[in-house]
Formats: sequence, C-alpha cells, structure tokens
Amino acid sequence: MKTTREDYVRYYLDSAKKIGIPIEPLTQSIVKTAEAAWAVDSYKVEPSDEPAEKSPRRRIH
Amino acid sequence: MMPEPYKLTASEASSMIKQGELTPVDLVESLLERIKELEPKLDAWVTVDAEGALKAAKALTMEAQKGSLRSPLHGIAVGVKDIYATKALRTTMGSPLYHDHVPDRDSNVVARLREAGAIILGKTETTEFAYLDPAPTRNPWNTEYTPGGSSSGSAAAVAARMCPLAFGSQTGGSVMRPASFCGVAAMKPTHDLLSREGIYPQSWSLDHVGFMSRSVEDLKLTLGALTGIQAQSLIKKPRIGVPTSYFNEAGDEDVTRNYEETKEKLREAGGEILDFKLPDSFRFVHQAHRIIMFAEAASVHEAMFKETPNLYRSHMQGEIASGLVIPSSTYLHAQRIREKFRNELTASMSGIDVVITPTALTPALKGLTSTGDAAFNVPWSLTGFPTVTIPSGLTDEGLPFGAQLIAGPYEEIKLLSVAAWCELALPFDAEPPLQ
Repeated sequence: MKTTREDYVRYYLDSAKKIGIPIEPLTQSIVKTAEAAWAVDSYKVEPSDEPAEKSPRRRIH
Repeated sequence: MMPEPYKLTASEASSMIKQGELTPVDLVESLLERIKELEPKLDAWVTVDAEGALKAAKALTMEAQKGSLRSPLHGIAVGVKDIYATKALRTTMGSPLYHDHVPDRDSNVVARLREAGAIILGKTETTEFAYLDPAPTRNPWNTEYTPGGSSSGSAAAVAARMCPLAFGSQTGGSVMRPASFCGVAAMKPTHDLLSREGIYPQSWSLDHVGFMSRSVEDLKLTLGALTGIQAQSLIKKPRIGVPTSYFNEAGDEDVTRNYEETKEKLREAGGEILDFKLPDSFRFVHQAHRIIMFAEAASVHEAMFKETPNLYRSHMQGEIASGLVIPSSTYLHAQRIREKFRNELTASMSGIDVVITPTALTPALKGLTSTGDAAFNVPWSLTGFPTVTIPSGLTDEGLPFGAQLIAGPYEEIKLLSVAAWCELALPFDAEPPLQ
C-alpha cells in the first residue's frame, strides 16, 4: 500500500521498469508524476462533494 | 493611403473586402511576400500552401465581386497548427513519425473555416505532438527567444504579420502562453464549444481549440463566424476578480509588477476590481492536470511508443512512460478533483464577470530549448472555462506581457465584452522590431 512520497516514487519507477521502460533518461518525469499522484491520491473527494445535477454540456458541430 | 495588406487586422481586411477596397488575392499575395521575407528568420511555418491559397483567393475574389460573401472571414488567410488535419496538405504533428502524412480530409474546424470563406495559407509549427519538445520557431520580438508553445508557429506568424489569424490548440497553456510571449490576442473557448475532430489529440478531455489574432475585435469576428455567437456591446463597469493567492506571487518579478500595473490601469478606467478567493481544491489542480494529461497522452501513443520509442523526443518519452504507469484509481481521483474544482470555481465566480491573472509566469525565455511554463493556464484548461489573453505591456528588454481573463463556462459573450473593455484600458500598439 503506497502512503508516503517515497512509496509512490518507488512504485512508479518499479512499474516503469516492469513494462520495459528505460528509467535512466526519464527518471525526472516519472518521479514528478509519482509526486503528483501522491498529492492527488491524498486529496479525498467525498461523494457529498459531487452535486446530483451536472451543468449542461453544449457542443456546436 | 491604404496600408500594405499584410499589416491589416482580420477585421480591417474583412471590412475592406466587403467594401470592395481589397481582394482576397491582394491579401494573400501580400502575406506570401511577407512570409518569404521573414520566414528564414522565424521558422513559423512547416508548409506554406501558396498555390492552394492563391487558387482559393481567386475563387473567393470572384464571389466577392458578385456580391456574395460567405461570412466575415471571407477571403481572410489563416495559419493552422500542424496538428489539424488539412485535406491533401501535409500534416506532421511536429514528429518524424508523421513526416510525410497527408490527410484525406479536413478537420472539423478547417472545414468550417473553408465554408466560411477563410483561406488556409499553410501549416504552422508545433512542438512535437503539441507537448514540450520545441519547434524551431523564434520569437519575432527577439529571435534569440522562444515564442512559447505548443502553438509556436501560429503565435509567431500573427505577431510578425504573416497572417492576421491563426489557429492553435491548448491542453495546458499552449494557446495562451505563446500568445502572451508574442504580444498577440488569443482565445480558448469553452472546452467543447468547437469540435476537436481531426485534431491530433494530446489529451482528449483537456484539449481545446484556440485561435490568435491582433485584436479582441478579430477574436469576436472569428468566434462569430465559426459558432454564430455574437459579442455585441461593451460592458460598462466590469467586475474583475483578482485571486488573493498564487497568481500574485508565483510569477517572476517583472510579471508581478506588470500585473499590479494592469490592475491599477483597469481600476482607473472604471473597472470594479474585487478580491477573488480561490477554492481549496485549487491546491491540487496542477497535479490533477498532470495525471489526467499524462494518462490520456499515454493512451494515445502507447502502441507507437512501444514500437518506435526512439522516434519520440525526450519530453514526449517522459510523458508517455509516466502516463503508462498511472493506475486507473489515481486517474479517477484526478478527474474527481477536477470536477470538484470546476463546481467550486463556478460557484465562486457568481459575483464577478471575469477573473484576471497574468497569462504567463515569465515573459518569453531566452533560448529555444524551453517553451516556458503553463502553470497560470493549467487551471482553466482543467476546468474547460473560456479564456482570453491580451497584451499588457513590454519588459525593459522589449518582450511582451499578457493579461489573461477567465469567464464561466459558455460565457464567451461576457468574456469578449470584458476583454474589449480591457483592451481599451490597456492600449498596446507596439510591433516586433522586424525589418
């Protein structure tokens, strides 16, 4: 279970290695993404935060 | 004496074509000369379709002479970012993977432009797949500086008077930022107001159509021709919200000073300048944007990346590699943050007409290895709210600043009315020092 920033960074780098991505040149991007994921996962959005009605969408084709 | 046609704004050219004082052929020939003169210095274009543009111009000239004008864009030559499909015209996405790609049909926006009588002058430079690996384009204000990106060529072309109007796209800040760096006006309408069909995706739920010109009047003309939305009268006393955090401190010293001066000018002009508190969810918008963008971009490129990773440049490699390992639960968390922020922002904006921020954290950066930082634009790409940027001054080194206005969803009429008002309060008649 990932909880700390270090857990996230380790998870993302390990995941990238597992799917054959060459880590070395891409470390900075992967680490920054891991940090973003850690922040995103830490912010809990409660069901009550989501309104029952969504604003209408319009598109002109 | 009539100015050289290439100097005309889209609105001026449109009016002259309507009055019979200018033909589309005159306009295209003048722009082609301008491109021939400046393109070696600026590298704004991937492909200039002189033959196609002149052929279209001749046909549209005949229509105009018979009194048949299709729209206010009749005879107006435009540049189109090289991720928009253009029938029979090479479309490269800024990538060697699409070097010889020729679409067999137009994207929706290009088809609409042609129906409206606009002329596709050519394809403007883009960063690779509209992300961060730079295009070769240089800033017309100082060719040692970046024009920004990813809509690099469109911004440079409009600033250099190579075309009065050009189209780009924005996922993070790719219309607003280059427009600011190049001292032009630009608009990113509400997310799904204009179709993205036929535009190569960076991130489906974040990509926006956008366009650049030299005035708010031109933005109104363009939006009206493409959507029927008509922004009419000027607003009298706009209520302009100024965020009480982040945007007044995250920019560099020059940007922050210009922002303060801009607010003061708007206040002196009679605008109501109001404090605007950003919602708590704002703290996570940049991270949520990155997660969504990277996961979606990875999905677009997964197959090609696995086959030919070395044909991608370094920023794209980083984006795709990172995106491929984002768990679906994290992606969904990011989308929920996005929805929460959107809802909270909509509620917060009920007492104001627009929010104002600097358009970019810095003026254009020296060198061509970075297109700058989209941090001031990302929140509005995430929510899909419409934005406009207008020039708001020059640095001591002669590089432009921009002021970004944000309105609520589908409030294009209000946004353009306030933008026109602000443009009067922030007069900007400087031109890039090009020979």
